[in-house]
Amino acid sequence: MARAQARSQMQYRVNFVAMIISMVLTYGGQFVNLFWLTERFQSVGGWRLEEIVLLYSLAILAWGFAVSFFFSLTGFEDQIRNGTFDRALLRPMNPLFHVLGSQSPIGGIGQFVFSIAAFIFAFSATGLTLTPVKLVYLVLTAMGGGLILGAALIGVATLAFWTTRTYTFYWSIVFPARQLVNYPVSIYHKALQLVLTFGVPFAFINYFPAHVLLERTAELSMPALAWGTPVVGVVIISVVYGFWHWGTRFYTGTGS
Amino acid sequence: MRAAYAFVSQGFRQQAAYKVEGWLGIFSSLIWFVIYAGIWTALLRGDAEALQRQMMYVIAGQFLGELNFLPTWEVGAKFRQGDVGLELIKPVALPVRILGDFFGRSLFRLLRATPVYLIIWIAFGLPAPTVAQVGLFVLTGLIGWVIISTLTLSMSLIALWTVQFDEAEQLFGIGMSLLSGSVIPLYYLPAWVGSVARFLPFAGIFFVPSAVLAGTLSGADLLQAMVLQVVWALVGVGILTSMWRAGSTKLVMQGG
Repeated sequence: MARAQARSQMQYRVNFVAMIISMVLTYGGQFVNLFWLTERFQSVGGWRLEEIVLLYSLAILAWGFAVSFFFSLTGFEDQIRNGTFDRALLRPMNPLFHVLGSQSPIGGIGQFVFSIAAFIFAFSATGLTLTPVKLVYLVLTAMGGGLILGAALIGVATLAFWTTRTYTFYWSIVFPARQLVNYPVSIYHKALQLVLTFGVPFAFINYFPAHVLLERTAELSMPALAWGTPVVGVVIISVVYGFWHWGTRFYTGTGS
Repeated sequence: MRAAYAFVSQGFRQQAAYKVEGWLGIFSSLIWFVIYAGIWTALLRGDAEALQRQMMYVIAGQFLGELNFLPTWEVGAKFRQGDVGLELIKPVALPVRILGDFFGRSLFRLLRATPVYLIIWIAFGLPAPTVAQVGLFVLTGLIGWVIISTLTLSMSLIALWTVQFDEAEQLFGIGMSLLSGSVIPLYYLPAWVGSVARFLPFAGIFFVPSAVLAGTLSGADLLQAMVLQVVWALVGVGILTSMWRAGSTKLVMQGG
């Protein structure tokens, strides 16, 4: 038994190493592209390399929280198709927590490691200091950003009550939408900026809070927005939870 | 040839049947377009002519993205489930069937994307390309498809020998993201990177056709690029053929 345990542990370690390699390749590739672009053109919409890296690291950190607590929702279609969700509905526990519980909460560890490395680079390159206020806000904003992304994943999973699909929705909507905020949202058309602020509030994941860390809140037309991420996170996830709750009423088993 | 055609038309019809996926695919493609358009508008703000060329380049890339949609993960799943044994008793070789199916699906995706990007092209007031440009875009795009489809399918076939094969595809993916011109055209890369990338297979997949449509690659340079494309396409076909031969022989030995 012990040997079997050890062997299964080894299996996970190989998986873990493979996951880290894959992450280094993905984020590393994005970084190199960004590096080459800023080398050629100096800045993107007035944001220098290290400032955009700060946006990246905030986005990755928030995504780390979302992966840790909400990522199982991308596979929710399997739970619907296999009828596992029927079981969740019968338990004396909130069915959403049941779905969220079907994953390991350390899933985002790679993202955390990566974002800390990116923060160190961004802070040393910008020469800014991390005051206690900034550090507290950084943690709060990362959790708020995690809630915003978690809300997006709950929203996608809710659609499965009608479509019985989640993977396609994740890969065609949430994944590309996350990439929108890898660059400062100020480069986009005003209408899209409004959507990313008041509709799908991804701008709160990194763009607005980055102004606090960079001490540039005065540049925003509404400086208060820079401090809004934790509140926005709680509000949006409550709204989307309402949507999910309403959606469960339309759930019918697939008969399998 | 007729067998291959049958798989192309079957793939086309199959893709047409997935209505939700179809619209989501367009939506996702549009998000990526917005990201690239936003970045390049910010980078080339001072140079209207370069920006116009770059917008044509980006739209060309969106077409190529649809053409080069290669869901090789389906092949991987097939191998893991052990269906590959059944593949060998079928009269048409697996690579022909898979690539025929993929090509048919790409044709449908292209057909669906064409009106969308045509409207965007006109809405942005971009100049109409010449007939020769369009013809060369289609031709170089197709050669590029041969390069990417044979190379990626060859990587999927590594699964015939070992279970772990994701790393090869990931490395290829990083090459695509950095050196194919799908994000940054080769002439905006650091000079040394651009001069190396010109000779690699990646450039033939995105950069050559996109630059043809944008009008930034013509004459002797284009001729040289196309010769390189053909060479890489032949290399790809060669690798795929020999890998399939070797792999299917090996499987027969195991089974019998």
